[in-house]
Parts: sequence; structure tokens; C-alpha cells
Amino acid sequence: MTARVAPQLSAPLSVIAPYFLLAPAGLLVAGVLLLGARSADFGAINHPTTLGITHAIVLGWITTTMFGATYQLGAAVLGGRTLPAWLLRAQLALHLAGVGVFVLSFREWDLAWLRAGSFVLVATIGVHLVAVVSPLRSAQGWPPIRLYLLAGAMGLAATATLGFLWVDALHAARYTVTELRISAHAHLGLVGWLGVTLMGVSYQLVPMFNVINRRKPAVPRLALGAVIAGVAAFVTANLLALPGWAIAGSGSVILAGIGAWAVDQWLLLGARSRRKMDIQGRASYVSLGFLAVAGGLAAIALGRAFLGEPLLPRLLLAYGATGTLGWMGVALIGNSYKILPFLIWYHRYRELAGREPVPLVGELYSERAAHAVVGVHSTAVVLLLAGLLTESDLLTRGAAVLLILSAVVHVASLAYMFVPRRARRSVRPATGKEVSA
Amino acid sequence: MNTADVARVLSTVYDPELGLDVVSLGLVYGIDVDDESVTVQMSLTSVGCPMETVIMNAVQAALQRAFPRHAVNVDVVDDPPWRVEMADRKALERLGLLPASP
Repeated sequence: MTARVAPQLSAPLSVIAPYFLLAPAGLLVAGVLLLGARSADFGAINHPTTLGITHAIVLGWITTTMFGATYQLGAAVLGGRTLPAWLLRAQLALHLAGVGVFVLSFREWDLAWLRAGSFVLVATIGVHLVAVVSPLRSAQGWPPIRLYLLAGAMGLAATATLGFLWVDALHAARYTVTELRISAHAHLGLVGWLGVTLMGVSYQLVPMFNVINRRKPAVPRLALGAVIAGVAAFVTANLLALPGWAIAGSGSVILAGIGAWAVDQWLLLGARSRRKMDIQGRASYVSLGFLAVAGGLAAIALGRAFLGEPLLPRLLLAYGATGTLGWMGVALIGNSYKILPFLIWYHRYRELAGREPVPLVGELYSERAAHAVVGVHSTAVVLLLAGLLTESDLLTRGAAVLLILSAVVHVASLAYMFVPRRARRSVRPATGKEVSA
Repeated sequence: MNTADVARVLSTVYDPELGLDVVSLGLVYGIDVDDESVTVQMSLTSVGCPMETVIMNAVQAALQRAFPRHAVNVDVVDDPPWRVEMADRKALERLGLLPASP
């Protein structure tokens, strides 16, 4: 079920590394905006500050990281070609600029600049969609990662389309962008694009990095089918403002699909040969824990929708924050300490392996720093969750400080991987003198 | 030169991700030696192992360096698939499957 990997086909390190190194700027900006926010800002899901923070996290940090991870994994796992390096570099620069404009114009509620930012982001997302066409077309068979990346790309295209339409509607005052319409766009992005892509990438990375070959993924297609069907129905129900039972029913299908995936991942992790877990394994478990909390909050929100009770913005924001920063964020941090060291090692040492002592992949980063990042970030998510639910400015600001800290330490920790180092292990390659040839 | 010599050379080739050599991991399924060539049959810890080409090239380079007058063949086999039980005690300890030796 896990596809073979040909890392020589992925985009070069000099193209991919900046995605990982610059993406946490989105988290940093979100932390700064959160620090300056007041409790009243979280009284609606469409408050300018809230929209600025959520888009800094989702478009700035998570999407940028997903772009980089896809350019590394896409061609390596599925085959095909990556786009020219100059185009990917231009995409990254434009995307970051677009996110900056977009987030600040949300914050300042400047609809002209918001529209300008949306044009830039539609262009960079368009480049990404073109970039994944070749790997998706070249793949042999239908391993889970191909299905999930295909679904994720379609989800991204739909999310961008709705987002662009909503921004245009705000700018030209064509029609009201209701909370239900925002919910449709948000769930397309969070589940249809980011969630589905992360789920697919996990089916590739978790077995690979934890040496799992005693168990195969049980329900990758079933989980994906449920999520796609659920998202399609949920978005339709929100766009058409259908009764609460339709929203609750379709949302429950999404929850069932993600829940099946989570159980599958839990069982896979339990069957790992590499019992001594590293940062990626631990982050996977923490991430699943946050997903369970987010799922619980989502179930409460769906129950309220079913009963026809009004939306509770803080509950929705708490569930969104736990899903994005907790589930996706922690998984991304953990995977960063696998993807980037591997790329650096592959770039620097693959030709030397077997010929002279080379460091191990795990020696390229500080396991302690990586754990610190996950620990501080996870504490921030817990504080934010508590702050949102209890309307506590103190807790929310505490979370903001920790998010800023984790973003800074994370970037420093990633940058540290680029420092050249020698092998610590006292192993020397064999020579003819050691054996009686 | 005999199979033990080849195994000694292979034990200097490490899986850079797991930090264990290919012999301790039980990845080497067979070694054939004759006057002109060395043939190694080996597997990988998983089908999707991202280090496949790296490990294969490292094995090739190490053997070529140690036995420059021999042709070196490295065959990757998936059958039987590698299982953790194929690793030796040291590897099992490093993977956290056995308590560490005193």
C-alpha cells in the first residue's frame, strides 16, 4: 500500500527547503495577531481579526508547508516531473507576499487590498495545481497517496474558487457572505484540502518512518470516500442553507471518515517495528490526540445544529483551532523533522555513503529542540482552546506567546539542520586491507 | 575471500535513517562469492523505504572498494519481505524491541 520512493525525482533541496523554513512565518504572524486580539474578537467567526489569524495559520503556515511537502513527495513517490525551479521559487515568493497582503487587509478590513491579495493567491494556488498534475498522471496504480493527493488538489481548487467568490462579493457588495457560506469555504479548505492531503501523506510517511510492515492500512479508500462524500454534502447543505439535520448528517459522515482514518493510523502506529519512538512518532500520537478533541467539539457543534440551536462561534473557533494547530500543526512539525533532514542528508551525503563516514539522518537535527517545539506548540494549543472556551484573554495571550516561541524555535531548529557536520559514529567504510581479498 | 569477509564489509554499511548496519538489521538474505564476482541478495525494511537507492549504492560502493578485482552485483528482493524478527539482538535493542543489555 505504501508506494516506492525515488527521491532523485523530487525538486531540489534549494527549492523545497525555503518552503519549510519560511512557512512558520505564518504561525508567527498568527501569534502576533492573537497577542493583540481581544476576547470580543472571537465572538464571531467572520470578525476581521479572526479571519486574519485563521488565514495566517492556514494559508501562511500549513498550506505553504503542504506545498513544499508535496513537491518533495509528489514526484518521488508517484513519478512525473516537477515544475522548473525558478517557477516554484517565484510561486513561494508570490504566495508569501499574497498571504501577507491578504492577512493584513483582513485585519484592517481593506477590501481593495483583500481582492488584490486574492488574485495573487489564486495564481499561486494555480501553479500548485499545475505542479501536481504530472505526478498524479504518472503514478502506477492507485496507492492511497495518489487518491488523497488527487482529492486534496480538487478540494484546494474548490476552496480557492469559493474564497475568491466571497472576496469578490465583499468587494463589490454583490451578496452577503453569511456564516454558513464561510463555513462551506472553511470546511472545504480545512478538510477537503488540508485534512485530506495530510491524511494521504500520513499513509505514506507513518509506515515508512516507523518501519511498519506487519500491518497494512485497513480503510484508506473507505475513509477517503466518506470524507469526500461528507464534505460535498456538508458544503452543499451550508451553501443552500438547508435545515440543521442536513448539516448535522453530512458533518457526521465527515467525522466518520476522519475517525476511520484516525483509528487506522493508531493501529498502524501500534504495529510499528521501531518501538523506540522518535519525534515523528510522538508527534503523530499527540496529533491524533488533538484530532480526537477537535472531533469531540465538532460533534457537539453538529448536535447543536441538529437540534436547531444557534451556532456558538467560540465553539467553532475552538474546534477549528484544535483541528488546524493541533491535529495538522503537530503532525506537520513532526514530519518536518523527517522530511527536511532526509532531504539534506540525501543532498549532501548520499554519494559519500559507503565510501567515508557520514552522519546519520537523525544526527542532523536536535531531537531535544524538536521535542521542545512540539511541547511548547501543544501547550499553546491547549491554552488557546481553554482561552476560547472560557473567554479568557489571559489564556489566549499566553497561547499567543507560546505560539510565537514555538515558531521561532522551530525555524531555528530547522535552520540548524543546514550546519555541516561530521559523522559521530565511529564507523569507517571497509577497505581491501580489512579482508583477505 | 569468503562470505564472512563480504558480511564484514556489509556490516559497515548503515541504514542512515535507523542507524543500524544492514547485516544487523537482517537485510542481507544471501551472499555468493566466486573468483570473479560477489553477489549479494538483500531486502529493505519496507517497500517504500526512501533510502533504497542510497543503501544499494552504499553497499555497491563498499564492496567495490573492498574487492576491487571482483564484479559486484546487488539484487534487491521483496520476497520474503523483511520482518523485524530477522534483525539481530543489537538491532532489536536499538529499535526498542528488547531491553538493553547490561
